Amino acid sequence: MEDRKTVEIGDKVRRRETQRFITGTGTFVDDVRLPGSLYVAFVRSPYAHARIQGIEVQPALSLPGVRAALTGKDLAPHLTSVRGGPKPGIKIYPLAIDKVRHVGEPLAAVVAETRYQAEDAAEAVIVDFDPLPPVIDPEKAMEASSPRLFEELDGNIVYELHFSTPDIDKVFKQADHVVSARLSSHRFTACPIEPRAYCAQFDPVSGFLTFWGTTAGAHGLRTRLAQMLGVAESKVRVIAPDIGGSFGVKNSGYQEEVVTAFIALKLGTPVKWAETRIEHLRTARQGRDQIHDIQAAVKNDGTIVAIKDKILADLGCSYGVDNSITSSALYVPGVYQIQHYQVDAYGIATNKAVHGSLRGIGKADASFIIERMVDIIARDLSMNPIEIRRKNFIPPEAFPYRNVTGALYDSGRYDLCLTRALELANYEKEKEEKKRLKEKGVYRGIGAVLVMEPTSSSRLYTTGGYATCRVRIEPSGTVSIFSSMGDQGQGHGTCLSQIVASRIGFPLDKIYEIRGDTLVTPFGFGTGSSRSSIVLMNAALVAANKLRQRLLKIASRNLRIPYDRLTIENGKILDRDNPNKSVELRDIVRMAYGAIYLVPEDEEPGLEVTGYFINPNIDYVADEMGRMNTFSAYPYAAIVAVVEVDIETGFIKIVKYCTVHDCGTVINPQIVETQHYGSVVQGIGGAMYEQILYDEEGQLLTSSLMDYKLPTAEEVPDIQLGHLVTPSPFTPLGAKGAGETGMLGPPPALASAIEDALSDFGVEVRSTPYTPEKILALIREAKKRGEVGQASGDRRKAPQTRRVQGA
Amino acid sequence: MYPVAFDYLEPRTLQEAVELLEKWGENASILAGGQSLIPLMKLRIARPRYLIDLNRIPGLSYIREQDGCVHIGALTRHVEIEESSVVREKIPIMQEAVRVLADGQVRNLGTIGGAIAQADPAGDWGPVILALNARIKCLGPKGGREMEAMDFFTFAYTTALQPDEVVTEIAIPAPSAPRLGTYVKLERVSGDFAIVSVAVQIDRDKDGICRDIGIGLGGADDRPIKAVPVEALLRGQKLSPKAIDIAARRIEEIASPISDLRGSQEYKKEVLKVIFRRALERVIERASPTTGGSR
Ligand SMILES: Cc1cc2nc3c(=O)[nH]c(=O)nc-3n(C[C@H](O)[C@H](O)[C@H](O)COP(=O)(O)OP(=O)(O)OC[C@H]3O[C@@H](n4cnc5c(N)ncnc54)[C@H](O)[C@@H]3O)c2cc1C
Repeated sequence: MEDRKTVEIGDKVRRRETQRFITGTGTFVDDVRLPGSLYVAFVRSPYAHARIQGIEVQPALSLPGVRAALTGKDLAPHLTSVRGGPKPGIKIYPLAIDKVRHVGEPLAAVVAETRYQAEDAAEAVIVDFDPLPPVIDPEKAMEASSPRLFEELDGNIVYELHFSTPDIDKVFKQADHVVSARLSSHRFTACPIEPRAYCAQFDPVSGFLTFWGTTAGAHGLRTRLAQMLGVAESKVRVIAPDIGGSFGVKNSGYQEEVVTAFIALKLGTPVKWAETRIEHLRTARQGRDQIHDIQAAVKNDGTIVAIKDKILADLGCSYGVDNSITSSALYVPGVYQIQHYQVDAYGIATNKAVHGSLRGIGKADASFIIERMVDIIARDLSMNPIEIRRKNFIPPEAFPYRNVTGALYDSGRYDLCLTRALELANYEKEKEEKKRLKEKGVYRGIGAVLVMEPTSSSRLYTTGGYATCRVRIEPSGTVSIFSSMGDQGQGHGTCLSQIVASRIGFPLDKIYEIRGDTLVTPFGFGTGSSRSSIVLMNAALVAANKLRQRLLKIASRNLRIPYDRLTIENGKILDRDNPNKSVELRDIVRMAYGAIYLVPEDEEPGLEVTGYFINPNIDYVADEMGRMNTFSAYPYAAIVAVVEVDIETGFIKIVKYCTVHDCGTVINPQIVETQHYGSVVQGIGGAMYEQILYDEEGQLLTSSLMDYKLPTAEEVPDIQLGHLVTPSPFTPLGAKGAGETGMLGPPPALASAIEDALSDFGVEVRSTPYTPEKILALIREAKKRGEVGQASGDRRKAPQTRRVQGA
Repeated sequence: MYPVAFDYLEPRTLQEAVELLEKWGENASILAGGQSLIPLMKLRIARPRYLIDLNRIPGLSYIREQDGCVHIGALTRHVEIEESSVVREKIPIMQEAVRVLADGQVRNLGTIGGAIAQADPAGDWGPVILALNARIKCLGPKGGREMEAMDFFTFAYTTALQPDEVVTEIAIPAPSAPRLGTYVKLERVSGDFAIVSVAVQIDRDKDGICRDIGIGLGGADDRPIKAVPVEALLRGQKLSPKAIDIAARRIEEIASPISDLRGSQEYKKEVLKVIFRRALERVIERASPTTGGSR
């Protein structure tokens, strides 16, 4: 090992996880095969909203191979606590008892010897439903006359957030212009390649419950299982083996987790449940789905003075309220120096699947809304949308910047980032090309936006806080990194190893990452909010620095050279002033374990250290004005997208997608780049193809991949990526998180480009997704508006969604 | 994603397959490439008690030219059509179509016989064989018979086949101007079924008069349809922009698409007209002397 040069932070180290996955040798939950395992299948509601009058499991029990069947009523007495409903005091059981609130909600479970028998048994259970009127449209759901999802509540509004700076109405009255719009995002989901799966084994002798689960937060899941089932947390072990993607959907708690574990406890036999894609589309967390009625007060010169926003967030059947509303409500001001802001946000329960994390939760809505709005303002004021952005950007010298809602932005060079993106895209040339093509009847458009994405959230009593890494140099010379956070394909192991290697000079191939097993890893919170590069990576750095110091101290004593003259190079610790004086790292390791009398008295024995890193700058309580900062870092990206619109079919072709992003320090360029590409493609999927659609009865129309369209390789455009590095001043590494910014770009960037391509008609894009049929309808609408406008002599295309005062 | 229990039967001859079909009737399904049937079974939408696998029967997969016709065995995989030199030379429109049919994995297994028996209104082979005036050969307990493609598709996912009949061959008259055909498909994402699609194959004399034309439409109705009135309209005409325009409007009139997640009826009608016009323009372009003559 000694002759090998080790690595530095920032090196393009090859992702070590890739080989296993592409050769099909990963171990996912469904690959866990326990002898004698039984299989679980769930009976699910075919109705969006119905009362359960009775459940007959006998027909299932009489089928071959069926070992058990249980309903919510069977389960309830054994649960010491249940998951929270939308408000305290509302009990929600993992199997619905009185009422079902969305298609796919589980209400009974059957257990059989094979998966096939389990599916047959689930089908044989007879449920007597009394259908109730479904609540589907969030606006109607707010009306007093609407049926209610939770009879205990006096309506379907389950969450509210109100924030306002003083005298906002006065600011609006004094504004040169008031621009308003109704903007909305649609519902879609993450669709990781691996759906959910759980496998549970209970050992009655030791009283130990082992649970394999597709989760992005193994420790959190362990706490949930222990609390709900009333077993000692110390006797629960959760293992999250290889996880085939999460993108947020595996962050939350799910009914099936506790039911699977309960069955294993009760039967004393291992059990497994693996979700089908249909179940996944019906029950996994879904995201976005917000309506914003937004107004901006603007000066003649394009300065955005104030924003007022009203948000309706469709939370589905709302088992607890996720963070989407706070994240979008507090970040609508985005990257602009907006000093006056008011938001009234309402979370509404409807008979749809539960809303939750989806890569960029809440923040994606915020960036879409503000970026769209800036384009609308530019158009209304006949200003250049790029110039209006530059005019309003928070300037680099203002950082760290406290925004109007109390958020503390770490660092940023927005103007420069946008400039770089325009250069990358060859913007001036593209504009000419656009003109040239126009003559040939090709409708090409260019859109430029800048999206910002708060990362590493932490809130009172919800996930976040800190991360921990324990690093141990083993007696034989390998290094184990025990990480408190899991991995769902990001490649954290590569980055962690790289960070540790860079500090202790061990070669990468001697360094191993151990994660996703609560028995051996330090306690920690789940992956999400791009927090790994902030808290986890810095925890590894802290631990590695401690370990380096310990190695040097031992060497110092033995070489009799002052500690601060020593360095690690080529597998040796040597005197910087006299490189001939050195000791092999290998020998230090041997001493540390075998000859502990050679270890300095003031040092702890062994070569095992723990590093922590706490989310910096978090406010856990708002100030008297309601302001607070709930995120630690603020990466961003500028995007220049070029599209062509086929005005006869509405089809959009993305000619190129250029983005310059700033995630602070790049720990590993390959990982950052691949994260970004994937994230952009997922964003394109969400902007153009993917939709969770319910009909008026609350039936899910997109319940298989035949109807839920994911982009394929053919839909992936030419993506060009540039890096800008503005490290965070608040963390030793300076990394800000690279997982989500990519996904935020396509919705506003493509909308801008589409509007630009169709500017002849005055097309207004106000909602996602950009399906061909919708684009064609928008063209038609705009043409009609244009005709009406011309007929009435009004040159301004009749504003339907906005009001322009003054001027 | 787990089918109900079924018995798996493996006939070795067509005769045997037909006997099994006759015996089990509506309770049985033929398995060809399984690319439509297996997903439907996993969704428990199809619940056959007996699965009669054609894959062990020799001699059902072939592409050969005979008597001015290209004969394609029912069990011929999409990929075999994609790679066939006979098809490339004689009926290139089929190759154009197969390249946008599903994806590589599906094409490796799916068969032309299965695809037309499945009769998806938005499938790709339907419009193509309608435009080409293909005949479908099938075999039942009473022997073999032949149907015009036009008479074959009767409704969504429904054909004129009797429950005890098997498709054995698709016979396609080789077009007299092979290059003058094209297939245009609009799809939400690559590999998807068509929102709408158009197959056209023409023949024209040296003055540019349309001697014959075949037009098949996908996603335009509750089944793949042959645009007979529009064919009649254009036959004997010069394919001028005006004639094309009138024909395109006629296409919109005769289409009666189903509204679904791929598009509303209005949208499908509108874009059908557009791609029909584009298809004709493309064919004319190919026929123009500057781009290489009419044949
Ligand atoms: C992801 C995906 C995408 C697809 N996209 C497209 C597309 O874009 N365009 C398109 O056209 N198709 C598409 N398909 C369908 C594909 O073409 C199938 O291969 C075809 O529809 C069925 O052919 P098969 O050989 O697989 O038939 P099977 O699935 O085996 O059978 C289909 C039906 O036909 C019956 N059948 C099969 N063979 C015969 C026979 N010889 N005689 C009588 N009955 C028979 C079966 O009983 C069954 O009812 C797609 C399929 C998938 C899975």
